[in-house]
This record gives sequence, structure tokens and C-alpha cells, in this order.
Amino acid sequence: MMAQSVRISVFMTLAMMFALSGAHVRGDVEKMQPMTTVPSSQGVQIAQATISRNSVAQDTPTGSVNDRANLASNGTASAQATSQPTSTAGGEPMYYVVQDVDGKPMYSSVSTDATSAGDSNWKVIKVGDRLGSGVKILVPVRAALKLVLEPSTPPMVMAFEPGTQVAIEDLALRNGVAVSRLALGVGAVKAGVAESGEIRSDMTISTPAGTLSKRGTDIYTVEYQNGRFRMSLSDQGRGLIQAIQLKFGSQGQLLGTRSRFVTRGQFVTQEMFKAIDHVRFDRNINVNDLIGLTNNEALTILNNRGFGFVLPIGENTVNILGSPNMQTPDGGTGLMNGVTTVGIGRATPRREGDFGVGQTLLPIRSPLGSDNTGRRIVKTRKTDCAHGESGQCRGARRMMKRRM
Amino acid sequence: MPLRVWQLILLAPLVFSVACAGPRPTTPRVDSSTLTDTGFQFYLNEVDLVTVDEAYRAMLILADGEDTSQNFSEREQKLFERGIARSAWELQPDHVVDAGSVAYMVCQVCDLKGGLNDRLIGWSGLGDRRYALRELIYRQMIDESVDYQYMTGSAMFALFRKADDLRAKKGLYESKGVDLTDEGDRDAAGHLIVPDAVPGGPSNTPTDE
Repeated sequence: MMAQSVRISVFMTLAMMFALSGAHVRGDVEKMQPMTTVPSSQGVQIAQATISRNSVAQDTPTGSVNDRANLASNGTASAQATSQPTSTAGGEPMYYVVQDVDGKPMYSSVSTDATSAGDSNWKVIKVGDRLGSGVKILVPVRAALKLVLEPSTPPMVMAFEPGTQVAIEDLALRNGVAVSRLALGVGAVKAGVAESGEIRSDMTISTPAGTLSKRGTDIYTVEYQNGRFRMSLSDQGRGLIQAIQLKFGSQGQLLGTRSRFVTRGQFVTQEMFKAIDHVRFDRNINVNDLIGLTNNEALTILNNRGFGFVLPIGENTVNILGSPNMQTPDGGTGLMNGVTTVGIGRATPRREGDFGVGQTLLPIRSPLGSDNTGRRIVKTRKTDCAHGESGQCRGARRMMKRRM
Repeated sequence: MPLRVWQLILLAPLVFSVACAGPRPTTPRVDSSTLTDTGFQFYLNEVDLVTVDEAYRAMLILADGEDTSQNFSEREQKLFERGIARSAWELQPDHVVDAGSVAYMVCQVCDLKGGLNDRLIGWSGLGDRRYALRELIYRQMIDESVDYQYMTGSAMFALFRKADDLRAKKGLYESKGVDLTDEGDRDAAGHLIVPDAVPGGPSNTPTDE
């Protein structure tokens, strides 16, 4: 009994010593000096922590998602990330070189709390600084940052917008591939890669809600704030980007992913709508269709004053203001008197509604008018007066009349 | 008797208007008053609810780029003098700020005049915060909401970013314009221009090699 209690106490003592030594080691990692570049050992460890994230980007629901989400936002998860094993990482380190700076962006180690910005752990970024793996960057308002990749194969340029918090999880050249992993806590990142040569670029930017993976792309943007993301490719962008959204369960576990590709001029949000589905809601367009709108519709639609309920509900029924279901070209205003029309008949009833456009007669600005069958008189010519035997004028005589 | 009924009807909106939010129910992990301006900005992003004092400080940072005030009363005085906030609101420093008050202050800082109703009625104080919120919703700077809705930290920071972007675009402060755009970073053939890396000084050389 005595020997057993001694064994237990020895075991507990050893366990406590081991725990304390482990805490000490981890503390050393967290107290990393605010250098321009990060020690390779830590960079490798962080790179290992991102292995699971890479698999997330490949639609494999594995890995610690909370760690991923918090890497750029607080130091707790980062400390866990830096404690990952270091067996499979490696490669030649690469750096982002600061090309242009506006304001006072700062950087520190990835485990440093962002709210401590301004103390001795943080350094103000200046042109020429080289930022590698394991660096957290803060870009406050009234500040911006532009970086280029070094070595410049492949050539890559990146910009951080004001109000951005981002961590460089991994940045290295491995097996002929320039691997870059960014964790965006909040803000916006723009980047472009000019794919050329033998070295390929493999870059992903992850947010707590989704991940951007590019495919030989420039210039793309990923923005994350208030739990929402927006990923877009510029109007002249090349290649395409893949937006990968993470789906979580009630316990916070990763259930799976869904992805969508984005081409130039398009964007995708956390709604993951197709571009064709949401582009019509992206901007307000006033359709000044004086032809297709009646007075009531012009009042309610063009002025956008919320009286849309008075419009016909579909199938060209009469609305409560009594406007007819067959519209006139000028909406009864008389503005288009003298303008002839081509009768295309009554519009086909639309069950989804009328929308106030495209259901009326098309005007043809012909000074000669049209007949009641809708055929436009293209050419009519009068000759001189026809005179009778007494020399009295008998009126004009139509020489030619062609119909279409 | 009918007069009293009408009085109640007229006073009812005032009762609701003074029923503002109370103190923040949770305690943040850091004291915002100890943070630098940069640290405070990113503190906003992670705090659950924003107090009036914090909102005032955020508005001063947005307007001036820094907050040199020592306490709440000093911030309040500055905002009142510049017309960014109104004393009639009688906001308490430790109470959670509402979306309407923040929207009004953002409109003032960003020099947004608002719509016709805001100009005709809002100046008198009647519905000023509501119309300001509608203006920001119209500009897609804030989500669809109501003016008495409390302000979360992440929503506040998102609005903070957009307001700063708007101020930069309007030229309300000098900006170097560091960006990556189709217009400025492509050549005539449409290829991306990637500048050569600026050589770093001795203090910026890698220390892990």
C-alpha cells in the first residue's frame, strides 16, 4: 500500500514536471520576438497546422475548423496551431516584401493578440520589410499595404485594404509549387498572380466562413466582415476563383463544404448564389420605358415609392386604379400623338406578373402612318394633280403604294 | 377626457424613444480604455456589444484618425460641438449604443446629407436617427435593421470600415491610394503588372537562415 502511494506520488510529480516543461516551451513560442521574419521552426509548425486546412479546401471535411477560424483573430488557437508536429513540412521559405505602405499597418507573430496593437510586440510596417510564415498583420483604417512575393516566381502582388487583420499561415516553395496560405480574420485582400514559368502558384485565403482557392488568377478579392464573405474577380480578371463555403453543425463541427466557381466580373457571397441569380439584385436600374408603362406604373415603378401593390397582379388584369389591361403607347398622356405603331396584338398573359414593360404596341416614327392591320406604309408618293377635261383639279393621285 | 387620450397618444412615442438599451450584460476580456487606437479598432470586431463610450471613440477615430480624449465626457463634448452627436439623446456611457445613433454619427462624419425626409424633418431631431439609418441602408453600408436595434461589435466594425472607405473616396482625408485595380495595375495588353521587390535593409533580412 505504501509502495503504491509512493508510485502514484512519483507519477504525479513527473506528470506535473512534464506539464510545466511543456507550458514553458509553448510560452517560448508565444514570446517570439517581433522580427521582420519568423523563425523557420515556427513557420514550419504553423505550416503543419495548415495541412488540415488545405484538405478543407479540397472539400474534405477534416481538421480543426475552430483553429482555422481563429488563427487570424486571436492568439489562443494560434498557440495550439504552433504546437503541431513538424515532421512533414519543409521547403524553401518565401516572403512577401512590402512594396508600398499607407498609414501605419503593424505586424507581429501570429499568436499575438490584435487588441494589444501598439505595444512592444508590434512593429510598424515599412517599405522593404519581408514578411514570412507565422506573421500576423493589422491594417487599421487610414492605412493600406501592398506586397510582392519574393522570389518572384511566380510573380505575385497583393494588397490589404483598411481595416484588415490577416495571418500568413504558410508561405514556402515546395516541390516546385509556391504554397501560400492566408487566414483572413476581418477585412479585404486583393491579389493577383501572373502564372508563368515552371513554378506554379497554390494559394488559398481562408475566412471563418469560407475559403478562396484560385486557378491561375488575377485580380481577385476576398472580403470578410460581420460573419459574411464576398469573393470576386475583377472585370478584367483572368482565370477563375473557387469559393468554398464551410457548413457547420450545431456543435460547431464541420459537416461539409460546397463550392462555386467565379469568373471575371462576378462575385459570390455566403449565400452562394450563382452569378446569374444575384446579378439582377446587385444594382438598381431605372427602366425608363415610357412606351411600356402606364401613368400608374410610371408613378409607382420609376419613382420607386412603394406603391407597387396597385399594379396589376398578372395576366393583364385591371388594377385597382382602373388602368386597362391593354396599354397605349404613351400611357394615355398624349405625348406620342402622331407616332404610328405597329400592332403586334395583345401581349401574352404572364402568370408571374406584368412588370410594366414589353406588352404594348411598338411605335414606328413614320410620318405616313400605318394601316389598321399593322402594316407600315413604307413609301407613298404623290404626283401632280390630275386635271379633268375642264381643267379642274381632281385631287392627288397615288402613284405607288407598297406595303410591308 | 378626450384631451387626455390625445395627450397619451402624443406622448406614447416619447415613452418608447427614451426606453433605450441598458448596460452591456457581458464583460469584455480586455478594458477598451487601455487600448491604443489601432488595438481598439480590432477590439470592436470581437466585442459582442458596443457601448456608447466605445461608439463615441470609434467616431472620433473615424473623423480624425485618432482619439486624443481622456474620458467619455471629453469625447462627448467634442462630438456635441461638431454636431456629430446630439445632447438630446442623453446617452449613457456604459449603455449599449443603438444602431440609429451610430448611423446618425456616421452620416455626420461622412458628410451624408440624406434624403428629402431627412433634410426636411430630420434636422429638427424628429426621426433624425431613423432617417440616418435608412440612408445607410440605402447605401448598403449597414444591414436592414431598425434604429433601436443594439449594435454588435462585428457590425460596428463592418460599418466602420465602409465609412472609412467612403470618406477616402470622397476625399475627406488624404490617402495615398495604395490599391490593386484593373486600371492601375495592368499594362496596355491587360497583363498584370507585378513590380520588382523593394530590396530590404539589413534589419529586414531573414533571421531564420
